[in-house]
Amino acid sequence: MYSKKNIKHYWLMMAPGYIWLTLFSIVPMFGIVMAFQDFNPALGIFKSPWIGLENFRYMFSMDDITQVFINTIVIAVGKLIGNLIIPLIFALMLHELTIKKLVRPIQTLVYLPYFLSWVILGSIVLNIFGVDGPVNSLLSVFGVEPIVFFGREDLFRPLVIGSDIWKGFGYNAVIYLAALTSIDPSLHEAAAIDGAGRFKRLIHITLPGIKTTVILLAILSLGNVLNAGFDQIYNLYNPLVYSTGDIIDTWVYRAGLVELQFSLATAVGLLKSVVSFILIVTSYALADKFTGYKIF
Amino acid sequence: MKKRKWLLSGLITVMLMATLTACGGDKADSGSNGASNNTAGNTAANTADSKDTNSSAALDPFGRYEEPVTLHLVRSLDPNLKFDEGKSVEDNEFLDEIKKQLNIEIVYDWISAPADWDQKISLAISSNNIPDAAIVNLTQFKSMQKFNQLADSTDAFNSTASDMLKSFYESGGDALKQLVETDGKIMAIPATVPKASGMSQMWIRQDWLDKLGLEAPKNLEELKKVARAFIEQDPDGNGKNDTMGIVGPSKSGGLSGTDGNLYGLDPLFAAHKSFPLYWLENEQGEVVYGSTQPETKQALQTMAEMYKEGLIDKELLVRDDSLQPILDGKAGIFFGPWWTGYTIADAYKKDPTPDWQAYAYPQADDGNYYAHMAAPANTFVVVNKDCKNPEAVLKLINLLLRDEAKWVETGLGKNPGTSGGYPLFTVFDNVDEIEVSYDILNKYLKGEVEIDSVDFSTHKLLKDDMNAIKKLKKEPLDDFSITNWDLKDSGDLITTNLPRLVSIMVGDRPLATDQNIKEVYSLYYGQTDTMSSRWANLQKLEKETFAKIIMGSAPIDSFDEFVTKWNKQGGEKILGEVAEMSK
Repeated sequence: MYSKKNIKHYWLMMAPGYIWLTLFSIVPMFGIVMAFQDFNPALGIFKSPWIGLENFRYMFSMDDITQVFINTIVIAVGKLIGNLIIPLIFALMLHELTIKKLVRPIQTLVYLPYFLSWVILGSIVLNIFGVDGPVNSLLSVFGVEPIVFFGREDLFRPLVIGSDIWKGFGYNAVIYLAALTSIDPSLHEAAAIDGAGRFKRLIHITLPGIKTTVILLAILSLGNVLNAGFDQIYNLYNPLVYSTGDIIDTWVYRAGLVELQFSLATAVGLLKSVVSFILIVTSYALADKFTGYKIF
Repeated sequence: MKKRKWLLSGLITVMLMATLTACGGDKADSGSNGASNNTAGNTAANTADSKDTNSSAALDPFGRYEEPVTLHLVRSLDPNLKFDEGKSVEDNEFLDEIKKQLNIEIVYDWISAPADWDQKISLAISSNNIPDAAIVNLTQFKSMQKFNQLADSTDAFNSTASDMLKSFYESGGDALKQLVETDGKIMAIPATVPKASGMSQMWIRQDWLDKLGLEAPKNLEELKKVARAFIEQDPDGNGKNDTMGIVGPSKSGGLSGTDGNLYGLDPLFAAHKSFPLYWLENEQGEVVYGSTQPETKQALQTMAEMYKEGLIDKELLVRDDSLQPILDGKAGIFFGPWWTGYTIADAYKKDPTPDWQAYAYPQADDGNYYAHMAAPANTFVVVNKDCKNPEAVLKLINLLLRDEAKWVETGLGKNPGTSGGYPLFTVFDNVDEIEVSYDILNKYLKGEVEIDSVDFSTHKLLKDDMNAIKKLKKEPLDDFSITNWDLKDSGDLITTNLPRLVSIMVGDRPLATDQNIKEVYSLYYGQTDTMSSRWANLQKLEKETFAKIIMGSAPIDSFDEFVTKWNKQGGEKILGEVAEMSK
């Protein structure tokens, strides 16, 4: 099977990915020198004056940068856990569904929000949780005064995490469903004959069968701990929830593209990348240790 | 078997490539960008060679180049705009006109949707990939100047700007010069805006007031009473408790601004003589920052009480779009500048019941309405320092100013009009344009002025306005309630002219007639050195504190903490710089 002849087309298939990676991830990496410069676009990155760690010093002198990092990590970790568990539960329920005819329609339905951008979904979510929205109408039946959901600091993170899970769980469940179908059905049959009920079989056959997949996905998503989702938060946040909702990416956006402080924005972005890099290396080592997963 | 596998993977590869190129629109763009930049270099070199032959015609404000001159520009374009059959933003009547009259060819390096514009132009600045000329805001202009990307336009302006453009420039006075000149050099051509655009006023549903037997509220106490009545007494008569008092800014809006701030609460601040974001002089003659003054604290306290009582929109600063409750007929009061009339007139087309009228209320305790005024310009035409024909940029503006009214009259490029089709389009106007228009239109309706006796040479749109108002206005001619406009038989005029006329006759009436308006200007509208590094952060602090106080999630005393923090985190230094700059 493995010969030089039939390896060529694999390379061909990978080429677009590599071109994309080179153009958008490797080439722009040289831009990080801007973090150590007082960058002036007219002079370019070769001639802009060097200012050492001044940008970093300023960054850490700001009161709210710690809060911004905390917000990022809390939201990202919340999403990470939610995106691991909810799709798993959903996949298990779908797998156990006895009316097989319903499986496909349900899967398609929950898959839908995944394809919408946050610009659109943001509006939808804001309206659903608006003062005149369906959620408040429902609450008013129970005599609850209307709640301004997106104006509440304490509710912003749960709403962001929740809506992100809602958007993605249909898609994320696909991997689990694939893992579930790979479990040998004869195991289930044997257990059933031995008198194991549905729940017992779930605990002793299904879950151990997909354990490796779950652990692998969990470890690999560690690298994303500092990606709390710019698109989503940018479309949902407002000044009232800065204290719990302002993340590194939105901060960098306001500093870099609105106020044109390129160097400072790069410095913050670089710090984020360094932390992410450490996390990715760690998670790769962990993945290797616990599941024997290797890329190289 | 093997063959089939090859075929399959080949197919997949092709499909992947297709999706990649489809998704990678940006990349393709930047590719062609690079290419067109090369050609830019070439043509620039060519025109430089031919400059000698062109020089005689070059400096005349309307002179035609003998050899074609190419300008590389960028623009934002509303994707919903409709062009006539076969026409586009890159090939339309205006570009033909420019070619015919001036022999200038326009090439767009890129075109973006309005929503992406700021991001696109910022990226262009950061990558030093700027066009020959562009329209930018103050922050962008000042940054480009700092980065040494801009040409000194003094010579080009003196030699080639038309008299009309020069008169607009002069109408801005010293405040305008302070904004665009550095050491006596003109670094950008400011788009002077009508004074009226900087002032917010109260818009209120007159039909609701009449129905409930109320008068337009003159001061804060009356405003509270009216807002309460609008909420409790079912002014829309549908038997449901679904109306709101005062609409607030959306999540992308601001509580107050330095410009005509649509849906902002600026007049509520001003009624306390509080002017957030303004640099003011206090009684001791020191420069102070409006947002940190005790008056602002009082204003926030009043607003917090009003919010708690439900008089101000519950979804203040959270709402996705503040226009929606107005279109739905659920809101009775909002604050906005004269041009809000355009929005209101659009709503008339759908539902002609809401009769919105504008007032310079609520007044402060002393019976004055304090109106914060905008900078004399907030958009600027900047010229790249590598641009070979800076005077060509001025010619484009000259031609627009001279011929726009004529084009409107003859219907040239009617779809989508100059704003969609003309390169470097922005509104240049006399500072008092709207008040003059209000005055002349009123006299014209009363028969005190004849159309032939008006000098239109510095008023681009007035003639068209006069013709339209005769057809649109019904008796009584001095009452501009919605019922006194002819909405049935006026055809196209409702789309083309009604919005502007409502804006002038209703929206500018306060500024043109109210004697109690006191104008408040900022000492300084530019950006100091420290501001460029600290402002984003100070703004975050300010917005967060104000929003929380109003919505009750922070006590009013957190204002004092905000003032301390603001001073400590760079505010004090900025105050010093502003005092220096405004001397």
